[in-house]
Amino acid sequence: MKTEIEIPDDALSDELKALFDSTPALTVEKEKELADAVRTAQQDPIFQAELMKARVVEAVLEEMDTQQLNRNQLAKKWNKSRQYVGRILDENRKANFTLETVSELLHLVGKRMEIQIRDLAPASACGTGEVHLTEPLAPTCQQIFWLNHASRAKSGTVNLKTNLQMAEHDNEREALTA
Amino acid sequence: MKLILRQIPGLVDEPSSVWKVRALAIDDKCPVIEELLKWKQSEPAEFNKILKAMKVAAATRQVRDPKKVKACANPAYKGTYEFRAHKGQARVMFFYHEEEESLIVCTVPFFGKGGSAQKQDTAFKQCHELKTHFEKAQQ
Repeated sequence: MKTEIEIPDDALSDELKALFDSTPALTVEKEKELADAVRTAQQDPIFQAELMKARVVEAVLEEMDTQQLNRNQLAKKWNKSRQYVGRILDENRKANFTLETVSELLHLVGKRMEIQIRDLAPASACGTGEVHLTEPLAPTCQQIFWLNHASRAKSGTVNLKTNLQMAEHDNEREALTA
Repeated sequence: MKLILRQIPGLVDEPSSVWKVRALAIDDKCPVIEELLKWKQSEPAEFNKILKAMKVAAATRQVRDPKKVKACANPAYKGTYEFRAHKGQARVMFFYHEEEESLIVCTVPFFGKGGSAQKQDTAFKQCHELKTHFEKAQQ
């Protein structure tokens, strides 16, 4: 696999050449800024929860495809309305995306979930430090953990909800403890 | 000039990933990384959605959810796709490349304001052109 490819200076179309000409050069500072932003986003509990939902939905859609199951058929199999299935598969915030729901849904398509509970990595282990332009980053492991948090119900009372979340960090932490 | 595959800073390759997500640069210029930086500042919600779409795509052989990844409808640019910020305007055009490594190669960004259909088509065209150069060089 060639990761650097020499091409003739006149190989690009005018449009593409103009695009690259108008793009400022990358700097280490910019890359570090983006690395920090990406890692910060990935550590955000809401982002993690949304990513988990997206992965569940993707797994369900894949199985629906394999089993040639449409949303109506899935709704019937689940004994839910078509609209409810639609809300879940659209990752709608208003959908009741609980572990029970996810577990039932996955079960319907012949899948199950597994949860791993781990500590959040300290910022230093999440690679928020210097990032060299061409330095390959360490592979990550996935952590899935439970977050119990209180959410205020419409009635004004506080209910304890359990959400599924996923966090990621570099293997660095594991390497340090190995 | 050199076409260079760059890691998207902060977006690490997970052991369970199917695809490695990379951005295509020419020498030291990378429109995708540059635009992600801009979106991070000006459109943080869209930035997060694109990031989420990239992570889902990296973990999935073929993304089914068109809210995250959509193939180009124009047959002239077959094999090109876009990461989508659902209900937003940010897009990143990419193609899949599978040889020694399985790669998602991000090529050009696009932000869909006014007259966007034509601009989007142009972005796919540019993506396809970069795909052609990249694949030709790999042979």
